[in-house]
Amino acid sequence: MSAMKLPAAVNVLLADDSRAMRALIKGNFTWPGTSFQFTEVENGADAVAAYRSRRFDFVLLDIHMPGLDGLQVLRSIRSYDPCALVYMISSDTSMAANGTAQDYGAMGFVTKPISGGSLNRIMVSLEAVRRPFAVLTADDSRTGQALLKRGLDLLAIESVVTGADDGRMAVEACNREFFDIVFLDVHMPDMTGIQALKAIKSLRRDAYVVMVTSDASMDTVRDARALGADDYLLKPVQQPNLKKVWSRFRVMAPQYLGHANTIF
Amino acid sequence: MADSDNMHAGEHGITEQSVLAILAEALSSFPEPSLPDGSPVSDIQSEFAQAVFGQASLTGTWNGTVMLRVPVPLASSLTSALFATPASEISAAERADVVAELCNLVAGNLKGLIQGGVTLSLPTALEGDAELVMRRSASRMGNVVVDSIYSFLGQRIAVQIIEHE
Repeated sequence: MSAMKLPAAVNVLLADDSRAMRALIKGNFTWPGTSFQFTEVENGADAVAAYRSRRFDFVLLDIHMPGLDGLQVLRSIRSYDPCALVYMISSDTSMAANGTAQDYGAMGFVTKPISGGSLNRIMVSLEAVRRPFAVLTADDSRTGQALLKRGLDLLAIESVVTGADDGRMAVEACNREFFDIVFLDVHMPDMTGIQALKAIKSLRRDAYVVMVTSDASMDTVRDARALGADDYLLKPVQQPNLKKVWSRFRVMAPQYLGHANTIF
Repeated sequence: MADSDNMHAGEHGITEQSVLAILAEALSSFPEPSLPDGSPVSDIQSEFAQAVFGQASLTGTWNGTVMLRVPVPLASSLTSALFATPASEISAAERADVVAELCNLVAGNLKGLIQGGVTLSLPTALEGDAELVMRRSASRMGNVVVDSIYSFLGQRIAVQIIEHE
């Protein structure tokens, strides 16, 4: 697979307890055609909280930090977002630290201070990254879930699709892990799609939620929009409509490094 | 303009033509299934001897029920294609889920035609023999405003819309 140029703006979460080291890393992080926007945190707990409040293109994580150490943070971030791109940084050059980080799903391990060669290696590996879209489909009907997944497959969208059988499960899933896009059926028992929408938006304001409904009345669409739904899709899902919804999502939602260009 | 509370199905645009068009669109969103097992059955009673019966109701300015009867072999074919599972491994619950969703699609789209506030029920579906299907039929509870057969893959899907007072 050929390398893809990095986006013009890349958001980086930088976790290191040394302010001086953070300044040094920020100063050295340059790459042609790309500007890096850093969010700095000085401990592991703040790193986890920052990542859960918004997804970053990638994370630079110091291994040795007070409280939660880098490896614990790595595990926590990767459990929330299995596609998170994390580079571990440390002055500890032992292979043991490197091996454990790789076991936990880190992209790589670089020693501090980050040399020109290491920076080059990070950038080249980031350019080669391809991430599938994390999709949640919530529908009390497995048929509804399968039809939507089929629609995405027909569009050749590389995705990892998770199903939720009702609104409550959808909210739990969004609390547990990151999804690029959530398709919520309006009409579900126990917790309806509209109730789930409110709960999901309170968990993550920038969650991109598409209401899916066979209910073709405009009242339902208006209610969902008023509560923050980003889009809606009528059932039965017709491919041209799904294509438009997906394209709007790609334009309106935050763009992340490594996603294929799937604007139709 | 008529008061929407007193309007009948036809005045809302609920006709055989609109219902069958919605059903056709719903079926077109499924992966193309293979032909159901067994030779085509010529008489309708034999065809529906074992069927999956689904229904969903609308309540409000117009009250009615959408009812579908799908022969088991056809329901199996649709389910098998959708879940990429051999038809022989498909369970009754999976077939019921597919038929319930079909009912939901038809009823939900009919809701878009109805003027005024209407609530859509959750769909239900049950698989059984003709006697069970007859027992579960809601046709005695109101007027049958659409009673049609939709041909699909050489089999038939029975569609009824019952209007309640």
